[in-house]
Amino acid sequence: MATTSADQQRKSRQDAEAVENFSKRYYDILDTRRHNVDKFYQNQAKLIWNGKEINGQNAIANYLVGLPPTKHYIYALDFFPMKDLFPDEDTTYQVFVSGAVVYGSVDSVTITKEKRLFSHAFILTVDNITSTWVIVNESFRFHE
Amino acid sequence: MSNRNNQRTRHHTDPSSSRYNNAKYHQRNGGKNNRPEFSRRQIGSDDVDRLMMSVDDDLTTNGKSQEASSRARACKNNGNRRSTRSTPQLRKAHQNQIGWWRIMVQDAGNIGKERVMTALRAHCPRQFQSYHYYIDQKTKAGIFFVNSQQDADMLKRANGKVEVQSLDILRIIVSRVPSPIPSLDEDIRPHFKDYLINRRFDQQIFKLDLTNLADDEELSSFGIFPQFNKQAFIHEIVDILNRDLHMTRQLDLGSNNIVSLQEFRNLKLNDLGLLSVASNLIKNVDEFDNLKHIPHLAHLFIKNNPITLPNNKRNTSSMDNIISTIQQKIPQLKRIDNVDLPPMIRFATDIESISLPASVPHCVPNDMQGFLAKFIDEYYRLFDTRGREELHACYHDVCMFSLCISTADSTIVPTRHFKFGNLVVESRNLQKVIDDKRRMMLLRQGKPTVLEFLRTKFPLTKHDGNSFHVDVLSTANNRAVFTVNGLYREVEQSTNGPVRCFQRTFTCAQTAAGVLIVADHIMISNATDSQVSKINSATPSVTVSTSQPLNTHADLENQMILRFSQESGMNIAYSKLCLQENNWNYDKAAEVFLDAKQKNMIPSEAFYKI
Repeated sequence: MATTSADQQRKSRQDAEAVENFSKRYYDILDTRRHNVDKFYQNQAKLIWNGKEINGQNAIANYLVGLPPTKHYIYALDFFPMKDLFPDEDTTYQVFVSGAVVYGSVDSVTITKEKRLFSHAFILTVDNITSTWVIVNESFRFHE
Repeated sequence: MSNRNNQRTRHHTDPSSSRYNNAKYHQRNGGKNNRPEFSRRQIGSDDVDRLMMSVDDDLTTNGKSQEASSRARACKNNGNRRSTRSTPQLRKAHQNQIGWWRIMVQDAGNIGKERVMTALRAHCPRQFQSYHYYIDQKTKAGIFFVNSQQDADMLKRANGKVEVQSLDILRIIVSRVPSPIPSLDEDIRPHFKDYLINRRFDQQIFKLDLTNLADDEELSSFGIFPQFNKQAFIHEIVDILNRDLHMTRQLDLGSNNIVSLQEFRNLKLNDLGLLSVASNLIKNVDEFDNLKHIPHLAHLFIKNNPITLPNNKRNTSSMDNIISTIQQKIPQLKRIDNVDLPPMIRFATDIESISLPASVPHCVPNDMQGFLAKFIDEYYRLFDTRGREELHACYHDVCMFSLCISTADSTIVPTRHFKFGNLVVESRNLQKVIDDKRRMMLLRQGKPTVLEFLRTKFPLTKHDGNSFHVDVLSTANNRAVFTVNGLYREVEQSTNGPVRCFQRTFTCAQTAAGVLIVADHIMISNATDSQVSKINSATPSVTVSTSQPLNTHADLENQMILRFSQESGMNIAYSKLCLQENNWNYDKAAEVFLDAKQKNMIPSEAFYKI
């Protein structure tokens, strides 16, 4: 920890911004342009959706696209900068989100929509080749 | 007061039937005059006139029937009696404020109605008309209603001044009320129900005729005053219908001053095919949303409502538009009034319902199951202990911890509103904490800091092992990252403390000293009602593992056998045999099976299922 306090603060702020931006975009894509969600995943990513395991970027994208249309509402967001614990490894964050999600197309008035509270934890890292943020692992659970 | 002797209207005690005596009723369209009927609340000037007239003839209130019919007559204002507001009596009526006042005479039940009322009337300078005298069973007070401010004031002034036959000084309490009629009480309900079943329900065609309930003299004689503009009353009717008249196929609610259909949302009449709300006061086409849940509603009558009347200024839509709007709201309809509806073409995407994949309780690799079950078991045993002393053995020296609380009162999915108290100060929610320094401070690093928080700041908990769901995210780099989702109760103050829903993310590393936690995150929010009932009904779980095992070996085998049996068609015994022979390698066993099947080498008894 040779960095000065100001450095630390700056780094911490950058981390927070990166995480905030990422989660905002991620849920936005899920809600509005879900066919692009594959871009958020690493090739060998793993998703655990309510206990169901889905492996691989394509499989995950297909699975998510197959879910009904959504609108997510985020109530809480937090993260761990794993770099503090493992400075030699690639920049990695553990991101934690809590919120509500409504399944069902926005325009449709006749179908009753499904509404759930959810907790979402994902491991975010940098894809060195494309220099983009990607999800490596994630766990998504309804509050049941 | 000069029109007291003007007998232009029927006397209120006249028992002859209904309002059909009135010449205006012999008009072509039955006297409705295309004007919305007033709801009961509006007492127009006519009533005051009638009241003043009737007082002359009747100085004391006695007998139920008189009160009953007086209520039925005087309280209801017939729209067609709307006269011009120009005569001096009517202007006076305006000054004499109209409304309802509740007069409570304490102890009248014990004194006796006759005495009370006689004394009151003797005392009061003016005559007053009293309505609906009854005794409150609990307080034994006598309660009646008046509908003029002057009368109410007069009675108020009489408080403490009236003596009843040298026994008691009457205590009178006067208060303003929106309507005189108390809701259907327990004693009257069965009468109402019986009345509906006997008089209004046609057993042959399962038709319930609830038209004109307000005018029904039989009901009035029971002391029942149907007020369809009162939500509570409709609620009662719907209740009775759901419980006792659920076989109703046709329901006629015509001529009942109905404005809102909201309470009909609770109507559970699965056989109802025909419904009429004709001749009511429905103004808003959105009211019909409340009928869309009636599955077989095919024929709906809506005529003669403000919404359908062509000269209603509010009504800008044509009848066609209205019909088509209602059809959209209630797609199962086939006929509105006398118009057959064309079958509605809808979008397939609107018809299908949302289905979400089923949840699986855990996602844990086989080789980790034993270890994780023990770890979680042990950890929460230590965590649920006061002081959390022994937790220090679980954490690595270099570790980090954060608590994040989701305090949002979700309107999307309602949760219970347990308070978080001071714990909120310790929460690192980036959406709530903006200050960088504070964010850094709330990310606790290093074993001593972490333990100090857990020992001193985090409330005492009792976790419910039955509610746990464990997912293992990653086992890379010799570290395990897994989440535990579940419920716990805060038991600091009492055994009935707040129930929280949590997601705990552990990052554990394998070290020489064993498996230690290097990162620990807690995300908490309030539990929903259904979660709270789950935790309350759960049998007290002593340990986590005994309550919901993370798939023991035997379980896995059984699952495999079941699946193999389903997919191959063979019975359990043969499926098990096949799997065993192939060392429980599912895919290999499947291959072998398919191969053998093709070669017709499988005995037919393998497919016999008992």
